[in-house]
Amino acid sequence: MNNSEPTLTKLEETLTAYLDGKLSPADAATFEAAHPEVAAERRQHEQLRAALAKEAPALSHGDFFNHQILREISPAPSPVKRAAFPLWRLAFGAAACMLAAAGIFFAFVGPQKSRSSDYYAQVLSVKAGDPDITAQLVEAGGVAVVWIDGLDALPSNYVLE
Amino acid sequence: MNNAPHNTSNGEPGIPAESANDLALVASAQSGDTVAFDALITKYRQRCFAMIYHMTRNEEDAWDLAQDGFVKAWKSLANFRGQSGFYTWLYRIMTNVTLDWLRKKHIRGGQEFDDSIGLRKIEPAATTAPKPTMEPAARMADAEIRQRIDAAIEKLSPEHRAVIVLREIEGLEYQEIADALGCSIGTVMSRLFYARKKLQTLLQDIYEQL
Repeated sequence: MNNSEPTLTKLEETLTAYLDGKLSPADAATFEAAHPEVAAERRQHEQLRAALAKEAPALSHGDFFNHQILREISPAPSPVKRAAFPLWRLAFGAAACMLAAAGIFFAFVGPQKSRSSDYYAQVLSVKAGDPDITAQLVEAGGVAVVWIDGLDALPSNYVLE
Repeated sequence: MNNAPHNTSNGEPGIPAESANDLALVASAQSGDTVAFDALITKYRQRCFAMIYHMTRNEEDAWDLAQDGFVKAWKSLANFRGQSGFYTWLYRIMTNVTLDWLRKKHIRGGQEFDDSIGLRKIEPAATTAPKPTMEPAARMADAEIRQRIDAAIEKLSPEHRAVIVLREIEGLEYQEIADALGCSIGTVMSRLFYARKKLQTLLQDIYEQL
């Protein structure tokens, strides 16, 4: 549809105002006298208006209506409390454990027992990327132990899924 | 003519709602208080729903659109400066949400409003014509009339529907309608004139039953 509306003629404009009760009683009487047919039109208009007005339904499930809006507008729930052990830390821990196990393995049965004791410690320290996490290889009595400092303890209720 | 807005059947207050209570609730809502906004929803949901229903002629659509309107109102709440009543402001949002939806719906449906309908006569076999063997029972007659009115209003363009609903049902003044629709009073009067002519033509045979 074209949004531009045709301009009303003076008569059409007066009729609209008349139907909407915008004319003074004197003007309305003059208008009715000049155009007797408009009185019937006004009655029809009132009938239609009444018919339109009497069929307003009631909104159903009002509480649910509100609930859905509130769910939509409520601020996003604050991010779930950060896990004490985020994935990267767990991954690092796993990697460190594997390296430690590998170190122990090589210390006992591996072909390169003569490898420098600083080697694993350097690798672990570099992989950690966290200056607070340090690793060192301790060899004593033919046993090599990779000692890692700086990792957080696992919470007692932590469950690995 | 009584221009006072009618109260809804559930007794919710009419427009304009300029009460201090409204403004206090709005102020709280503006600071993020969803409980305050919940109270505003409860207060105005019926009127918004009824207005939208009259424009869409479908309860489910009206329910969804009223929700959309409230969500949009929440998002725009920072823009509410209290220059008009909260309900007047809300009304504009609801009207625009509904008009946008009606326009999209009719674009999708490929329907085109026939502005010349007011100049045509209704064919006796038209679907909107009264059935010659209409049930005499009042309930049946009411249902029939309701169907006829629905069908007639569906034939109006979204803009014509809007002015009819806002004027004839909601009882808004010309200026309020112009504000709500973002047009001039002259345009409001013109739309009213032509919308009424169309309805008159479409419903002329049932005026006696109204």
